[in-house]
Amino acid sequence: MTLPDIKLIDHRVKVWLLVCGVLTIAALVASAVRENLLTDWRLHQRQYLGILSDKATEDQGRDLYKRFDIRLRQAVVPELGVIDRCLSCHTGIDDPRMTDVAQPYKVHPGELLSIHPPERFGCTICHRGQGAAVTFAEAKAEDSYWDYPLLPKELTEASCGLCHTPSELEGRDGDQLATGARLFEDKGCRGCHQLGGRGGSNGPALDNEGLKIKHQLPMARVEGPHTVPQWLIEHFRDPQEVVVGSQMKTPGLNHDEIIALTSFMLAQQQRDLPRSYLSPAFHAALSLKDRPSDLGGERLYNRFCGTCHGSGTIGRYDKFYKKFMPAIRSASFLAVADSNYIANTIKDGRPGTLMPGWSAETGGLADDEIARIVAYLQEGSNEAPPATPPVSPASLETGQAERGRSLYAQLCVGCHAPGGIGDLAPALANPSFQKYASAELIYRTIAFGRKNTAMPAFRSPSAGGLDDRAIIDLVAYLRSLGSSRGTPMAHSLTPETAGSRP
Amino acid sequence: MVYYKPSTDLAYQSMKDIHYVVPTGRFIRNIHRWAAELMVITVILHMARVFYTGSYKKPREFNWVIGLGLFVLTLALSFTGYLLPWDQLAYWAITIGANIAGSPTEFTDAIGVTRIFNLGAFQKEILLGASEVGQEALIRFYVLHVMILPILLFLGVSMHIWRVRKDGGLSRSESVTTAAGKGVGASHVLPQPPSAAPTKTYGLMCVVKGRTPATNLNMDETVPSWPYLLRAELLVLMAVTFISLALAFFFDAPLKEMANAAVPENPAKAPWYFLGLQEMVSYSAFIGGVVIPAVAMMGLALIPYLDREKSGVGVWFTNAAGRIVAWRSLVFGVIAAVAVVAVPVNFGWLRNWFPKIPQLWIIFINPGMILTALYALWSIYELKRSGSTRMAAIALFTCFLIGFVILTTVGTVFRGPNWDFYWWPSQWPVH
Repeated sequence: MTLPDIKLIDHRVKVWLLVCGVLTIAALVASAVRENLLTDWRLHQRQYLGILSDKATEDQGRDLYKRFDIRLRQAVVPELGVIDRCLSCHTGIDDPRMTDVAQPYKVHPGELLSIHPPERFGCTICHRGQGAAVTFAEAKAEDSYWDYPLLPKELTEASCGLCHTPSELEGRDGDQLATGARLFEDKGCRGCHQLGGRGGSNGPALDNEGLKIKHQLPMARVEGPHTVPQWLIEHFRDPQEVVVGSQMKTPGLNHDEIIALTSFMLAQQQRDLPRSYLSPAFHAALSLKDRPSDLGGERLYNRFCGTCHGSGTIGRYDKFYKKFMPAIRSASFLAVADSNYIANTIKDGRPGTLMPGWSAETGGLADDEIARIVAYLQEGSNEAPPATPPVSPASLETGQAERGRSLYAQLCVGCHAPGGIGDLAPALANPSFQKYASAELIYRTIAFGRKNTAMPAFRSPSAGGLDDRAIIDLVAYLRSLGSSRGTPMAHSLTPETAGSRP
Repeated sequence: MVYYKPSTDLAYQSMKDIHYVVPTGRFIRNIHRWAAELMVITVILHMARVFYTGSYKKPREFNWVIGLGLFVLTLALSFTGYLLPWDQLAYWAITIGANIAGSPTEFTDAIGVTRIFNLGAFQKEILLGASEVGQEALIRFYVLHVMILPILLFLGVSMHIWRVRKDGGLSRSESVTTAAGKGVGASHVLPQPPSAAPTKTYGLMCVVKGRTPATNLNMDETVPSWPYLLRAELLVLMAVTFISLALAFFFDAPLKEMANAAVPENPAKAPWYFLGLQEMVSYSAFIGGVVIPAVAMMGLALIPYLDREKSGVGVWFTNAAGRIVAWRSLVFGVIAAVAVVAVPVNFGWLRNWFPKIPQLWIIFINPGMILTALYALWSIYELKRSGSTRMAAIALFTCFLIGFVILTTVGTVFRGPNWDFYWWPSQWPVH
């Protein structure tokens, strides 16, 4: 092998060095120009300068034109954690003359800016989006790596709820939010969802729904843009379409109502905003220890119970949950259930079934509110209670559980499921039921049934014609379900397995 | 560095500021990012070249070891820099990395001594300064990244280059030396130049400085460093600079959402050069994340001391036979690595076949371990076949190199949510 000619190699090296050197300098110059001179906001401000000069017809306009310099504009509000550079392109938002120009130079619509100056509030506190960004796509941040993309125009009102209560906005700019809040109550959302500590526990609590980010929600079946607002909208339209196997019933809302409810959801954000930003009403609501609880029993019932129990007068078969919902306002129920039993059942619920607990600690209802609900239930039916002969308490203790078991297997198991775990009909082994239901209640329910429900009267000849002895045996068996350890209980809460009951 | 604020509250916002408003901040960050990744690649390529030209042999054994140390430093610099943006990518990549450091717990659990001696948790805590990635980890990664590791790298590179001179310049083929002697030169920090064809490379490698005692060559047998060598190096510097600038001009460095411990990335992936490791970690954290890398690094460091054959320095693959060995090992390495990935993907592994097997079996008999064993056996086979330690070394190095490439590719491209296999990211289920 011979040595290559070093001079020749060196010559080639020199040529390539020159080429690379020139290319490097070119790349540096190109990037310097792009990064410093051709940024979007510079170009927009140059454009805006032209608009200003066109509109400079009187002294004030000429003055504005003269004073306008091209620089990065941003609203910095440390209290809110806001650094918004939107103003770098949206230069005309505070200039009332900018009505006939194209975006991004237009004036901000409405009176809102005069009450909420950008220097004090920034932009993203209301509109969301990425305030730090200086390009439109990244500021909207729909496809960018940013947790809170720009809110669609029709949902911007949601942000009013950060500092205002929906009720104080009623009839004003935040009407949509007020509508959403009303729908939330009227549609019985609280039957399953907690908000501010009040509501059922079958669905997730919604106190922070507005701060959810898209990665926390299943987006696979969302048809529009994969954002949280869009998820909410499509989810309200048809919960099962978006979340396969969702337990939520379709609320049946029209488009405007869906938008209002979405807006209300987006307003649910547990944020520690400075008190000075909060409206007096919001402030007051925050410091109120006791929730306003002057609602009547009926309204409470509709809010918290109606979603599942319906009118409560007949034993409705709920196609969605695939089970009979107890008719808790029917005469035959009220004939055996006293106030204590009902109140305790409401307070504790039926753990492991669809029926959540509603005491102040669990569902957020005050004792007097529960009492009002009980009173409402009891006044419910104007039907006369069925005539039921009295039973002596002593005789109820003499049943034989073994005999009761075989009767149960013949007569009850079809609806109440083996071991009383509940299926179409309520779970009788449920500890809460066992705790509060008296033997007499069980006896009477078996003997005389529940009128207008699927529960027959087993003493009547048409439904088995059981004699007292047999019924007392059954009572003994059902009682034994409560004491036996390891009762199959608390199945996972799916529409197929959950049951609820007094 | 002057705009960045190493605090969990401020770091992410300062990244955004650098990206959007600091004059040319975005461009400089892009350069930094892409240059860092290029550096990992070029260091690996450089190592491959030094190996295949036999440039680690006497008297350059120790410089090879220094080079390995620099390789580790390069990865450490890259890894520590990865956390600083404090975005989701950073947070979860470092979480994965820290969990790899904590993986000995898996082993101590299996033999039941974790309560007495929890090496994994200890290592993890050393790395993060806490049990989770947080402010402590951020500040310590920052100090490592901007101060300690750069100083070490500076010292290391100085030593590395100095040894090049001291060990006799760039390595070159014996066939062009005269009788005068050691006729050898060291590998150099030259990244693989575009003109890596053997003849050209010899040309560069023959450039040996005169008057250095170590060369023992006559003046007419050497070429002065200036201007020839330095000019060539300058060319490489320029070319690399231009490539970095061009990449930085067209592609933005990634920056995801702000770090959020409540929303795990799925899949959470380590930096790409650790994805081969992560692939093995998915089989067994302890073996794949600690034992195999340690064994591999040790093996690399020992190469010059195990293979003491003197011939073939400065020649690619030593000779024609070496070339054939390299090709054969490449084929074997590909087949073995692909098979080792394909079997668990298609048929599951021990846990699926024998659900009740003790965890220790799972730890030790895993695809990564089997791949390593296959490669070792292959190397022994080549050793027996040729009787040459150099050939065995070529076989082993080739296998490990291609294994690294394949596992890294699998980890980067073919692994999706829950580390399931997908042919392409577009097939990932939308969550």
